[in-house]
Amino acid sequence: MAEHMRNSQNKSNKFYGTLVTCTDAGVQLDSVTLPELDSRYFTLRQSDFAQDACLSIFSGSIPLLTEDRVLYPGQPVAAIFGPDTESVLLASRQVRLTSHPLEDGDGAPADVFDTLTVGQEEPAEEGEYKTIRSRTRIEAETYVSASALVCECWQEGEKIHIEVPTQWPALIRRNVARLADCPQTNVIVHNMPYQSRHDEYLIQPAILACIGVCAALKCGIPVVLKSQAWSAGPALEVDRTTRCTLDGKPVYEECTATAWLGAYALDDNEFIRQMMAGLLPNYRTKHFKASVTVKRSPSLPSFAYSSAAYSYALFSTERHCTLLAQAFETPPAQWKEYVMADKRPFTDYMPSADLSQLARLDDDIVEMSDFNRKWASYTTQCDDFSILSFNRGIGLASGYSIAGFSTSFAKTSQAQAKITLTEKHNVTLLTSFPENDAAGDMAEKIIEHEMDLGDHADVIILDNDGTMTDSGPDILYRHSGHFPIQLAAAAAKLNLDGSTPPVSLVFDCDEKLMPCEFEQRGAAAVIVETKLDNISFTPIALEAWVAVASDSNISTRHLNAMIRSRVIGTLKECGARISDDPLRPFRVNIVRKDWQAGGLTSLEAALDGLTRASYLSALKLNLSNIAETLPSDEKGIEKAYREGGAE
Amino acid sequence: MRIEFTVDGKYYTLSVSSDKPLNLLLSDDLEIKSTSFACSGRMCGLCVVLMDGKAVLSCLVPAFEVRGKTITTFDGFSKTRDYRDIEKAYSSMQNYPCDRCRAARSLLIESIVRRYEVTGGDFDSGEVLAEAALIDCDCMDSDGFLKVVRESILNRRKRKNVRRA
Repeated sequence: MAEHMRNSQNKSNKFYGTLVTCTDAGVQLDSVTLPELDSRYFTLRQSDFAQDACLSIFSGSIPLLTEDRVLYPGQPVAAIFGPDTESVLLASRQVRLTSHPLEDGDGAPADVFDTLTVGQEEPAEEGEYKTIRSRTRIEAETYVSASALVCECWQEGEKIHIEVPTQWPALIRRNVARLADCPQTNVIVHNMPYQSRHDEYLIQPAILACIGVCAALKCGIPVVLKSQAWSAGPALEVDRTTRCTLDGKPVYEECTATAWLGAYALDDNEFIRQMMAGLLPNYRTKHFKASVTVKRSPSLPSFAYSSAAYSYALFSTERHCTLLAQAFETPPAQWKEYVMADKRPFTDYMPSADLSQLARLDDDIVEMSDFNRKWASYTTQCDDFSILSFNRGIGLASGYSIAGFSTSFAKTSQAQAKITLTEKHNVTLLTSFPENDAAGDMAEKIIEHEMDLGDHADVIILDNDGTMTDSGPDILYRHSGHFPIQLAAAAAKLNLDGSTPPVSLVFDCDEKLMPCEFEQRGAAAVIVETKLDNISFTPIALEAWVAVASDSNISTRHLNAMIRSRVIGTLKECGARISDDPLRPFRVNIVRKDWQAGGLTSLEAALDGLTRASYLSALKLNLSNIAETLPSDEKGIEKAYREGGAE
Repeated sequence: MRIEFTVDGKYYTLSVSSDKPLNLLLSDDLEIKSTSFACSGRMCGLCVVLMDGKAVLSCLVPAFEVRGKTITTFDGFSKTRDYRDIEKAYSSMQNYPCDRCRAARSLLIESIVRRYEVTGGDFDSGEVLAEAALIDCDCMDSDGFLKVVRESILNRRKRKNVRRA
């Protein structure tokens, strides 16, 4: 006998919607012809919004629906709502758009530029030097989440409810309140669980929420809007010139980077600051100059993309390091040991760093992976490529990590959280960050460590749904890498306060008082070994070795899962296939060391960049004439193999 | 159409559209949240459930195929002793899946463990690695996955042998 009887057919109390998008970029719309729809359907256009129909985010804005210029592929033009998702999707396919290309420079914003000089203002010309040049390119990537993004909006009395997975609930609340012309306290965001790989739940959920609320207010019943969450990475080109003494010591270095960040500017200055931090080399030079230019491009707007600015810059820096070592015919591990003897100087972007810890991390995995022997062997193979019947490569990269926004950005933001010591000597923490097992465990550990709580006291991470607290966006590893540091300081302060409970403290989620823009948050070294498939020319990742300097607050279980996820995910994004050979299945060997500088660490940003750098170095040993571009693909490799150049 | 099936030991009769995917049946009609990642058939692999003991992607199984079948979701499976065998293997191999894919990966491992428990054949690493590719998550490397599966099989055999003795 049936225990339960349910019926899923009754859905007439909701409208289901979809976005109509234009697939071409850089065009001017001439006309938008909607299909003839019966009374069960309705559409939403830009003109239906009473206020300015755009999403304000950081210092920029993105139009919700456009009626004139389409600047990125997939830009929403209209939204169609109806009784079920399938019929709405069919209706959206009948929309006809006509357009013509935009003229060059038609309303395009100016480029943003910044420069940094460390040491001497101009390089001295005297002396005999060897000049090494490199160019590293990264093509723009668009990441679309595998999970469907569902946003449900409804009105209950004066309150507007939005149920959506989002990395920044306050962004939705602020924009919806402006569009609906109501106080922010009337907008309640129910944050649904999500797992973000490249910050894809930052922009698109907010766009859906704004459009969904407008539709819900228009029709008076709940609406469900479905789409895919996307995130776009920057396209990047880094040119670097180093002049070294004849024994291989870098003396003068200049670096020029150009980034294309999509159709709309969100906060180019923050992107530049993150890039500058990554472009600083891990060796001391008499003169170092870096200039970064940010340009607009007809692609999806890009901002964080998992700390792409820092990771990609670090990638280019470490890749160049390997080229310098190769230029002096020295294994990278030995060359690094030689140049890492000095301290890295203080700059506006990063504090001075003792590079010996990086060298020790290198040593750990160099020995474990037998790096020097393999490097020598594979280099010989590279020289006599046509003679040997196998082609393998190995690469090494090491560097420091950062997390969160720069100090300059933090000074302009109002991201806060609240910690309370209750009468029963329990501690509650109120933030707008999503609940997450790893981050929750860490917050509990920090509070227990910093506060003298009794045996029966509890740390309660409050259910943050619908709160008015704005802790800022959950991007750039702020939640796991940056926020715990602020939390530890706040908990210590509350502990010393001595007031009678209940006592609360509202604290900033970002550091505003640091003398430079970022601080080192841990260090990592990565070695990747690859081989080329003899038939398909696909690069196969055989094994990886990772050494990290990490604080003790993060559990080994979470740290190992994070390291594996970052390394394997990044290798796949670079175009590598992960070895599934039963005789040698792919393995990530992890060595964990204590972070001697003290404080909490966040290694994700560094691991991304270092994995890319070591992978490309390994690929370069596979095939010496391959272009320095990622992601790599079989066609490029085959071209380099057959014609002696991938360009 | 009307379908009758068992989910986590409970018998259900539902009146649903015949092509409604199993993951939506579970999340919308039965409110089981462990399979709620809906990629609409784009092979994210996070919606794995056991259908008569075999791992399937629930977003690719239409309702009419579920008729008369026994479905095990992670909600039900995580309360069983079988899951303890897999959890022990994660722990002893120091190789844990992330929170995102833990449910799907554990069910996939259970499906492999059951197969070897029944057939008792030689361990085929290539076949197991091919199955591991079903889940699009990077938190576990191939070598680690093989070790966890081997350890889970050992744990299961040990437990069953002890019980028989």
